[in-house]
Amino acid sequence: MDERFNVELEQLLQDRGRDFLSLSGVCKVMPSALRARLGLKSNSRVGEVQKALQPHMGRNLEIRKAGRSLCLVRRGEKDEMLLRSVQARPGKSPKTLRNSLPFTAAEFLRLTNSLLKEGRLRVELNARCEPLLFAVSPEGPPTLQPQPLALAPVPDAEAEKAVLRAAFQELEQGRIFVRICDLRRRLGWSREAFDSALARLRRERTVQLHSGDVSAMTQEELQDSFVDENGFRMLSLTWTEAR
Amino acid sequence: MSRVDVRQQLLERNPFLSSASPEPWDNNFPDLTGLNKDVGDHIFTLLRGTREGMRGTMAGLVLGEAGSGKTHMLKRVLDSMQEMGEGALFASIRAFLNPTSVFQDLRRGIFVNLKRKRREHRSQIDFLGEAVKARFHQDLVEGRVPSYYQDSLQLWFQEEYPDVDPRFLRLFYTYMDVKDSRLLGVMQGDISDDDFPGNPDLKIDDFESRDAAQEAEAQRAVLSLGMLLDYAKMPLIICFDQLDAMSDEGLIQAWGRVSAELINNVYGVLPLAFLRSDKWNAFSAVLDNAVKDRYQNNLMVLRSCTLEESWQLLEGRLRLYYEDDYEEKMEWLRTQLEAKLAVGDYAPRHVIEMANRAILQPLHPVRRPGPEDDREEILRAFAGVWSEERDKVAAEPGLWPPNLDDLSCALELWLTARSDCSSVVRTGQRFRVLEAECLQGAERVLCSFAFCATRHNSPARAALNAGLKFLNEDPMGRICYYVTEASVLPALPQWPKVHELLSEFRNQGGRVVVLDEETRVCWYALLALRNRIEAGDVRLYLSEESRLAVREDLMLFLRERFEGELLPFEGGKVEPPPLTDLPVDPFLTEDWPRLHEAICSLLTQAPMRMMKADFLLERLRNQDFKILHAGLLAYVKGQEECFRLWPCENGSLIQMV
Repeated sequence: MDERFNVELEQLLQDRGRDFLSLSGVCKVMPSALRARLGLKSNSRVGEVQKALQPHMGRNLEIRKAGRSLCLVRRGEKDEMLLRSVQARPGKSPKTLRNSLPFTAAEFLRLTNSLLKEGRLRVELNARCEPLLFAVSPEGPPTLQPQPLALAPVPDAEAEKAVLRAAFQELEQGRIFVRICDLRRRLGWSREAFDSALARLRRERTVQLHSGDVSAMTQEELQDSFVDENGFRMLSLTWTEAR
Repeated sequence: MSRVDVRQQLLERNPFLSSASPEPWDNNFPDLTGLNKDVGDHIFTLLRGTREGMRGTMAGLVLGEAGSGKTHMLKRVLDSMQEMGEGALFASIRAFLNPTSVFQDLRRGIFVNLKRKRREHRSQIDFLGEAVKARFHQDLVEGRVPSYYQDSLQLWFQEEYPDVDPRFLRLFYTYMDVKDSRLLGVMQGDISDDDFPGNPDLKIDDFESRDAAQEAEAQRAVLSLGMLLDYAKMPLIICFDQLDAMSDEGLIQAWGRVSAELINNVYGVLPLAFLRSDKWNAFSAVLDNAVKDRYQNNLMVLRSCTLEESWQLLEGRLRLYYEDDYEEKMEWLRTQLEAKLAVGDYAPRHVIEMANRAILQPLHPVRRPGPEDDREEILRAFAGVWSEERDKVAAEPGLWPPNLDDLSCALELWLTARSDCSSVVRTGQRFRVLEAECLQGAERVLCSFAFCATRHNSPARAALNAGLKFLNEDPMGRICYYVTEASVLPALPQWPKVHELLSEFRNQGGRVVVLDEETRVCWYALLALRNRIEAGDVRLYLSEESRLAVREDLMLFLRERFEGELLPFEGGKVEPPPLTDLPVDPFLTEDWPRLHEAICSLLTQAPMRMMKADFLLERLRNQDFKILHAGLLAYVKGQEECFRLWPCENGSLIQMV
């Protein structure tokens, strides 16, 4: 095992505030120099990526299956990982969550039931009586953790818009307003790339940006909002193009 | 004219100084009918639906970020209703402060609005009364009501609507006959019905039961009002505005209960909630699904201004202030804002604020402001908003009827910000609401605050007794304030027992603070200021960014720059208030015709027939008028055909029309 690879791979997860990342995502977001050293290309197949990464896992990393994808996973407290996932995406059904996490079905059941028993998770039923999972935080409402799609900004403006829109729709869930910090984290683009894409869409009147209650946000969430050319801090956006 | 001259003119009379939307009843700013037309249309569709099915169950939710025009939308609704004639009624209700008195607050809010004049100096409740009478007359003529009920509308109504509250109905019909405004005070729950006996619930001495009884009575009154609306076929739009100030879960649930009652059981009302989207998410987590779904079934979203709408917005305001002399100023603004507005769509408030900034910023700044200037900018911005709110409350005292929760909330804020007070807590008692430790000299003393804000003598006695009990527990080491309003404390020989208790309270070292029209302004304006912060209506332009003001900024202002003294605390020492008699009501002592003439004469001599209220007041006092600041503003506001009030940076401007 090459220790340097191991450190760089772990850093990759850490920089994105993630516990795990799909192998295809890892391959896309890793620096090109590292990719070259591992003998990979940005469009390498998952099997090739797995083969290249496997020797450098060490004690801190592993490759596991999450739903149908293979993921690079940071070893650690699995219950904390599950809890963080629920905090990042509150209101997901256990089934959806299970398919998105790198746990076996048995592991997921055991961890979820244990967190429910400890009162760290709670369940609500939706209109169709399906259970939805929420984190219980002693310090107040849960804060969203970064959950980027791990997509690099797309050079083509139209493709960029499509990716942004897809992420917007995923986060919107009928609420019409989406917080800019959530969108930024969902996409995982560099700050400059995200800000310039947002400013462009706004200039084109594709989106409208809105200010909001800064006191309801954490310092990190505020930092991930958007300050425009006129100095207005904008916290949420609506998609207006279809209007 | 040079650029400097245009800017100078705009500085002298700045149409963009205030970006807050005034109360819908007083909003003279032009409406951009194209902006959010879909929302306005949707509301009117709902209103038509309510009129057609007065017993239907509709509600609407309008989401918009701070400054997107939520309160302005109320003006559009109200204006359109005015144009429709007396076909519908309108009430704008502020955030609730106490979960145990939500129906009382709702009833009070509705009646404050129903008392507002619509046309021909007739109030909304007059229109309702006339519509009920007209419908009854028509039913008699067409034989739907037997002729032997001809002189007994009240009796017939009682039989037609057996669930109607007979006391409420009697008060309503008596008011329609005699037009005594005190009766509206009784219906509103602010005046004792000692003169109109007959409600056994209100004779209960146990105050917890009494509170519950009053809440139940308020709920019955709202239900009964719905029956009158139903009969008159006159829907009432109830707009819940500034709900953002409600963050407590208990309050949100209480609001949900009120909403459920309005939607399910009260006839002829259309509840509309106006909220920021993030707040609605917080509400959704707490509200009952049935209520949430009812609101979300009619979800409307306010959008920002397009570039063209931004220019129309600016032009509309300039025309209002400068009439035909606006074009050059518009041209100047265009050059200042063209690049800024090209960045994207902005909420109406952003547009107004950008125009204001362009006017206020020096053309050749000596240096760029840095983080060290932020604190001063916060204090400067708050001073402006404070004077605006103070003058609004002074000009319209009727919008802020005496209210225990409002008073205690304002005092809590004020005490929390003071360095000589600590451990400000709510006691959980109905009349002795707050406690704090206050510095007296070098010692910390436990201080308690008792309130009475209704013209009922039993709560007044209860508050004084609670204060006396507190003092008697440690006569040397405690301080107790009894806070009430002049309008709810009649002078002797009325209420002899209350006055006896007041003397005893003073003898025990208790401090009595009776708020007159002038001093009460500070209390209610502080609450209004807090509501504006909570609603995201105050923006701060700091060196690095522009953001909405938050509670910490308000606390900074209260500590550093707030000029109002709610209680006579001085230099860290609690000074006893003067033991004078009740303050004299400035409205009763003034010679109004002579005052009117003097105001007109002074304004006629002023440039643009306009003067700052403070300056005008000084000139009037030089002529031996004993009017107070609040009295002057309220008088001018009441004479809308002669005078107009304009917000200005530090106090209002008064203009002769």
